[in-house]
Amino acid sequence: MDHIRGQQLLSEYLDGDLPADTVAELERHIEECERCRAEVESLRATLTALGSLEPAEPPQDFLQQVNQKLRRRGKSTFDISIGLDRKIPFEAVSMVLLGILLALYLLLVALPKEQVTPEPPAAVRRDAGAGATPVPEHPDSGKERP
Amino acid sequence: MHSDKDSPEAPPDGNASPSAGSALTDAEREQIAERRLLRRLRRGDHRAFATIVRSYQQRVFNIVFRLLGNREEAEDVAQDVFVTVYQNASSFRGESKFSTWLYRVAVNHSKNRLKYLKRRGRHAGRPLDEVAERQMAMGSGETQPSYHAAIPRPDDLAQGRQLEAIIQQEMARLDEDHRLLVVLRDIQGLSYQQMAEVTGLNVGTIKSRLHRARLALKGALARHMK
Repeated sequence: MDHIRGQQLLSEYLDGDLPADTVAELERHIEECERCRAEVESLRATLTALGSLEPAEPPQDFLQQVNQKLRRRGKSTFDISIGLDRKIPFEAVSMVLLGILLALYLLLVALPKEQVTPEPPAAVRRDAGAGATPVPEHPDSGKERP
Repeated sequence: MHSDKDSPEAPPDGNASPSAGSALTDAEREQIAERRLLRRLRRGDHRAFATIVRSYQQRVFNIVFRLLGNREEAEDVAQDVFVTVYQNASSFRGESKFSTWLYRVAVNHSKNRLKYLKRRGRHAGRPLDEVAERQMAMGSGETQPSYHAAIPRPDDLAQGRQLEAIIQQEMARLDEDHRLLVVLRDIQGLSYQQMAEVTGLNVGTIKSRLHRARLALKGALARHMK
């Protein structure tokens, strides 16, 4: 293995990501090549340093902060709580409310005009009946008799 | 290293399917638990959302913080990540691991924030420099800043703090894409395959770029160690 190829493989070598035969070949090269030996050691030290970084911790009240942001953005503000942390989305609630309002409208406004109209008095009915079937006018009606 | 190779915690909702038996691997059990949580989240179960946040907040925050270097910005961006998860849970189709999707969201939010900060005239590296300076100050005995309070440290390692500050400082100087790969692989411990899914790069590109990033970091750290 030549030096350039060896250098290119050092990262994968340290990651344990090379096939066994390539590892054997590279290790033979590293033994012979002082520069590659130094390179692999300093790369290893860099990775160790990176790995030694303590994970950064979010604040204790991180979940609360997320929930506050959700409420501010109006996503969950309108969700209806129906029990322990169980919520119905606002959209679903809106649809149900719209359905109820539509049903109420039909019951109270639209239907009574058609079906619950009170029976008209008999006289009115007669008039209405007369109006409905007018007596055909005599052809001479309206004309003065000689 | 805070490694993602480690199993994340007990299954997020703590109850893998009993019918699954012991034939399932930890990863499979974790995926089943993730899917169950997501189903609950899509139904609007706020408790499932809280479980997801608690299970992943540390890993998401670590990635975002290491990319941005500024605790305040990192908190804001990490919150945005989970808000996005809440609002877009239905768009996750389950083709990848949930954590992979979550990291992708975190990386995209972080990149957008870096762009925004650049537009506002704040150099991308500056926040990390600030962290480094403040950590240096800590090492020299000044009052411990609040952003660092949650990170436990060995008592005798002021040098360790300085090393961390130097690493942060030098990471800030890396090209943004290189820094991302170092964070995902060497700090967060993702596999190359997972990195490919998060970044959209192919594994070969990731390996060569990561190698260059490590060499750059190695050179920079070596200058400090002299």
